[in-house]
Amino acid sequence: MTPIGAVLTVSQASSGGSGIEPVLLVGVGGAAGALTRFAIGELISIDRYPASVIAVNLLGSVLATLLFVRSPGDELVLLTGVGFCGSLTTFSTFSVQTVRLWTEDRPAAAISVAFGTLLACLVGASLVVAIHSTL
Amino acid sequence: MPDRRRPVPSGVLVATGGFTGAIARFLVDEAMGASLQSTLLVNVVGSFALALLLARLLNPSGSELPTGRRRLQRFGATGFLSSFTTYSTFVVGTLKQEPAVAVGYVLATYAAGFAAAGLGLAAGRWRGERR
Repeated sequence: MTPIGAVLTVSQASSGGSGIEPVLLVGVGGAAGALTRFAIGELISIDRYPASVIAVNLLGSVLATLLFVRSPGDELVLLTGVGFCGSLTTFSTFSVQTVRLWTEDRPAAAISVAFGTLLACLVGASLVVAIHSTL
Repeated sequence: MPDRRRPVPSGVLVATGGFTGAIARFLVDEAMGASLQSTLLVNVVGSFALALLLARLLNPSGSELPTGRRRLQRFGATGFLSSFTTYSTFVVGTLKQEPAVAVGYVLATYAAGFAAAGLGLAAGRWRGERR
């Protein structure tokens, strides 16, 4: 059995070396990630339940794990991992929505968001690692 | 006084907010060294700031937000502060740890993040009432 930590070791992938500023790669990826999150929020609209927050966090976490195990090179990691996935997912909206549900006397909904997101993301990411290690 | 400001498309506000928010997060990583601590810091600070902003923007009447506030919501909340914080880096960072460290990191992030969000909401409402 391979421990996750052994699979998820940072490899020094070679950079494409296009000379684009790292800050710019992160910013462009971040803009695209925020727009995608906004669009998903407009599409998935369940009355007073932050389903779209769970969806973007799961999607972004699975994608970020895939990038991490594939190590596609520094520039692609900055653009898609740090920028896109980092901004597609959000902790602040997740925590504020969870606390709001709790203060609105909807503890079951709050707990389902807090731990449903965590469970879904950890299972999704672990599946990516498991599938990658068998290939 | 009528609001003569031209409407800015929501997408432009969200994208520019996301651009700057992601860069701000990256700069914190660069300054501290990308680590569990740097991710914890942006997530806690971002949770407090977003809660404060949303509590201040809240429209008690439930009607549509005026132009300036709607812009601030798109740029500052949906764009900047949501992109400044991250869940994916938190998940990947957690998976890389030994089980005991992973559990501690999740508990610390959740406890500090929810506390920060609660404080931000309370502070925003309190300031709103005093106006």
